[in-house]
Amino acid sequence: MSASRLMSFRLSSSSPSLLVLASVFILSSQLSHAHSINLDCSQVQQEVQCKGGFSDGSGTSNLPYVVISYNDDVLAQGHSSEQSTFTFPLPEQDYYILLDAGPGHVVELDMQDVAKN
Amino acid sequence: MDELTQAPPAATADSAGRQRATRRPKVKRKWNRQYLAYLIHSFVGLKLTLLMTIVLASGTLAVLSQEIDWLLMPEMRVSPTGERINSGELLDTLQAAYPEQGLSFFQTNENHPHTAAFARYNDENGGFRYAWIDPYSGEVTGDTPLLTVGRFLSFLHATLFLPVIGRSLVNAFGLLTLISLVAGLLAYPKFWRFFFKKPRTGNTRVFIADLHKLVGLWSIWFLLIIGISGSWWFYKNPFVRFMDAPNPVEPYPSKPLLSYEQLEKLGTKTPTPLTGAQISQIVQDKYPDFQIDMLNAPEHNADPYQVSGSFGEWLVRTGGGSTVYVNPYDGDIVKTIDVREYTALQRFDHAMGPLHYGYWAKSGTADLVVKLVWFSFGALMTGLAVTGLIINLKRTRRGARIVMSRTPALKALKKSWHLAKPWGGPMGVFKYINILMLVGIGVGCSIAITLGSQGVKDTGFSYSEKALGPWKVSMNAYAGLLEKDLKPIRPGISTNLAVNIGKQALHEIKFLHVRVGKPRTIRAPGTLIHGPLGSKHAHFELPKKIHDGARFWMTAQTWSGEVYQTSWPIMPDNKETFDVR
Repeated sequence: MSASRLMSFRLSSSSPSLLVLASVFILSSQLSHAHSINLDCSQVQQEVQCKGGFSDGSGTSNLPYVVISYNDDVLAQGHSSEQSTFTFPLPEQDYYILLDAGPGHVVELDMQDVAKN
Repeated sequence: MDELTQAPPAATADSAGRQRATRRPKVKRKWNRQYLAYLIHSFVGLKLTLLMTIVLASGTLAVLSQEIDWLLMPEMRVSPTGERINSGELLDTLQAAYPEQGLSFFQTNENHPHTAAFARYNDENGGFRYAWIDPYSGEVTGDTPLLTVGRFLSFLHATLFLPVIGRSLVNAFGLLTLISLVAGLLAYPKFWRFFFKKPRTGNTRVFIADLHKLVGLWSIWFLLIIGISGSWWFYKNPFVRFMDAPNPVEPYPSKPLLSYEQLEKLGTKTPTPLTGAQISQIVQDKYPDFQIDMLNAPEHNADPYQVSGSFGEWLVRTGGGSTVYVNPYDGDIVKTIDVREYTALQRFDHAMGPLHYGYWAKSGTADLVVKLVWFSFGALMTGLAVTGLIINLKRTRRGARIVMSRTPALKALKKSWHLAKPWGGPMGVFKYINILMLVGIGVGCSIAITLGSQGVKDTGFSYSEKALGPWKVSMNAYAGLLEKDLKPIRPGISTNLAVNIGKQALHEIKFLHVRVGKPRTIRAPGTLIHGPLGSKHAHFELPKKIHDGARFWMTAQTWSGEVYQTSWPIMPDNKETFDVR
């Protein structure tokens, strides 16, 4: 179990001892470790804004994104910004998003999981 | 400070009118800069003094945490006899002694010749332990629990074992130290004249006050170091970390992954990774001046071998040294992060740790001497907090005694109420804050002490053993090491999946992923399962909506290109998934 396993817990009021644990291991988290990748996207008017991140808090800048239709057509593609963001026009078809951070670290987000703002 | 509250000079035989004329300006003078500084100094020292004392006393002891553990635990103690064994070879030997548990973060302790090298592992219950090896003889000296006395003190100082606010609260004391120092000096007129003034004896309160000031003066340099580093960390946590305040420090270089091309080059047969000895030799050949302090084997098959250490640079925090990432299959150096190339602010950020905790002399007698100096001044600083409190209490007690002597019974009742009411007594409402925090620290400590003996195996939700191609796999989801009683699957939370799968399977599997719902494409099969042997796991972000009948899908991709999948219901159905809380 790496330190990130402990540090990646969500801090919530419902889990006080979890928070204790997170704070306990904050020192050991200074050692770098393997990490998981996450992707959050939200629809703002006619565009979709995405931001990726690793579970250790590091960013996902300059990584390839591709937006693919349910029929396997590429609808948009590009790279994330220095701020780890990627924005594309809202597709007219059903779609999903892939963020590729390297081998074993490709994350997929379906349009159903895109937050509507 | 004390002079300000001393009685004014005895009135002369001047007229009453002249006395009034001299008194009035005195009342006004009370609110000058000096008095205000005194009030701030007293407020900081008095109101949070209990917590401040705990932070200072634990910090003082934490300076010597490694030495305390060294004295208490024979597993750590070694005698330098001859040459050190190559650090990678040591790791290989230690790993061979724990064949079922993958070791991680192997630390060579090369800067501490009398201390064994060690690595972290998970025991059969899923809890942390440390394994130790003599770097001169190669003999495994044993293993120790996670929470030793030294580590307990370090954690107590850094977090007070208080949830969420612990670290920020401790950091806030850094700023308070700085404020207290500046206010104390402003309140002490012409303080530079008093460096060699002997404390006055005769009256205890006056003696303690003089001693407080004398120690304070000689500790200015130390208070500045502790105050500035603490205030820096206070800005970073909570302001940068939780409140999106701008971070003046440029982002640190990130850890690399092996590329698709590097993995493709390995072909379709399970590649044999290089040994620790080979990896450390490659690094030493490339960088002969590099001292290896830490080795961390890959946690998955796209993870490079991490070798951290020093090119001789100073003021680098623990675990943050220069790092060489090596391809574990062909020995190519993937990336080198050289601390010497950091920006000034990154170096400043790094320097705060060694300066604060006094480990900047790195090794040998110098290291021990510096730590003892830090320990001594830490003890003096703790003394400042304690004597400050005593001075205040003595002063208020004297005033209370005078009042009490006039109307004893009623005043006693009033005094009791005055001390008990939330806004009464010298510490006012802060006394309850102090007490509440102390209770919190006590509870936190007791929870933390149980950490070492607890594991995560077979807790939370259990996903029964299933076939995954030719192998068997099972897993359990748990909310946290101490959260076994909480439901581990809730929409939108981060949970943890501990995966049990055999050694042979791990030999043949290139990547193992898990996700909610069947993967749409094999290119994105979910969250990567990683970690050392014996503690394969995934940190899993659960979707904000979990549909009825949703299943965890596990996908294994082998080196030879086969894909195997299996699945379980996310929620317990008492057939495939069980609630074992």
